[in-house]
Amino acid sequence: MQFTADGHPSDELLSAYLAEAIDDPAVEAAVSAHLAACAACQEHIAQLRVITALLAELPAPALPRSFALAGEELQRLRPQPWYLRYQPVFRWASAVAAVLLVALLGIDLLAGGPAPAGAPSSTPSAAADRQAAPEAAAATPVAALSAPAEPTVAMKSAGEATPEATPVPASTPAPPAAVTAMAATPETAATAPVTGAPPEAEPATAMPSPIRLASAAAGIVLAIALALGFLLPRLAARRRQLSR
Amino acid sequence: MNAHLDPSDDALIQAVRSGELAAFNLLVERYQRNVYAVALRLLRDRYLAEDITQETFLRAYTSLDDYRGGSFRAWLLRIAHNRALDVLRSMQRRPATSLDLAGSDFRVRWSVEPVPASPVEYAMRDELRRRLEAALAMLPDDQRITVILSDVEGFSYEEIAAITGVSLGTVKSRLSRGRARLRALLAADESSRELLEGLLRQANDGPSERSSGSE
Repeated sequence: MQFTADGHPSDELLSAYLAEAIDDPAVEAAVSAHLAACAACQEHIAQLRVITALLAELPAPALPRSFALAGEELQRLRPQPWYLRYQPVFRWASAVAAVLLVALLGIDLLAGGPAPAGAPSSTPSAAADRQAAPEAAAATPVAALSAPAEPTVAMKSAGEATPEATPVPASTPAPPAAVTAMAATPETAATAPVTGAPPEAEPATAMPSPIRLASAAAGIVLAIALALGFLLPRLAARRRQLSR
Repeated sequence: MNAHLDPSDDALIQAVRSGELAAFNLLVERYQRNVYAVALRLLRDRYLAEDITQETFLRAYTSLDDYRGGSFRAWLLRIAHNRALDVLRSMQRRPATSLDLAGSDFRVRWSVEPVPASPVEYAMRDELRRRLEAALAMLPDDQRITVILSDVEGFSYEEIAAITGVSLGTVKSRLSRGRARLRALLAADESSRELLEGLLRQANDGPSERSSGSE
């Protein structure tokens, strides 16, 4: 980029002048001074202007087609981690497990709740039931809160379960033996084939009731599904953000 | 071109990264014209340009995690630019010999034809544009790419520096050299020079022409 031997600025220098891309102010001033006096260089600059104007109005090509990626391609080229691919499954599982857990605890409460403290035949199991009751009460809101996929169902079943369970002891001073027998029946049915012992001989505490077992299973499933469906994706996303 | 209500590029990229894969197609729709136009001007072949545009978006999609802020458009064009350079280098270049013949095999459909000012001026501009297009094809690749990105497609110097991976000063000097060379090519061609001079005379006589440097 300099003046040619015959004193005119080079084409490149004129072009740079037009683009205001001359770094040296002295050179820029020299070009400017030369331009004011030289008709040939004015013509060059004018031609450069026409050329840049023409370049700007070169027609844009028509798009031959859309280059959007097909849905199947989007999936294949950017494989999701397994916990994201199965996220809907985990979320549904957590909702179902929450509902199941609440229902089971409600049934358990209904079956074991009315046994009075004084009843000698069922003291251990009734005590255990009374212990379970607050647990159930405590578990319900937790389950309802931590399953945002289906909070309404969880809440609804919790609401259904509690009023059913509470009126029983108040309204029916019925023989507690009948109630405990009811609760005991499935227990004994389950244990009978194993032990072969008469139902009365088997204490209720030796083996947890199937409802308890089912509740525990539902609770474990709920915890795992919540961890995989909600906690893990969030932790992974945060970790990715931090590493970036 | 894109409305102000549309989600930003970064918001869409974030959506793709967090599993909302279809958001990527909004980015495709936003920039496919840019990518295709540049690829077509660089390669002067419809089908190659189509391939490169497709490849660019596929590559951008699979390596989206490598994008680290800045102009997404420039990042995208950088992928297209690098790919187009590979193809150009591997292609057997047939150097054009005259502005009459060069570009005769360059037939594409153009979407927007500028409205003619006057029939005579329109015919002159049209013919000169054709010759300019041919002259453009005769520039060295680095100058051609810079002139196309700057003067034809309207990218900023900063974007061009990011796309081509050179300094701002290099962009400016390539642009100056490219324009100077274009002018020299047209001036050296008899009929092109006459058209250019004719257009300038018309511009001086009529009010229609305005000076338009870059920026």
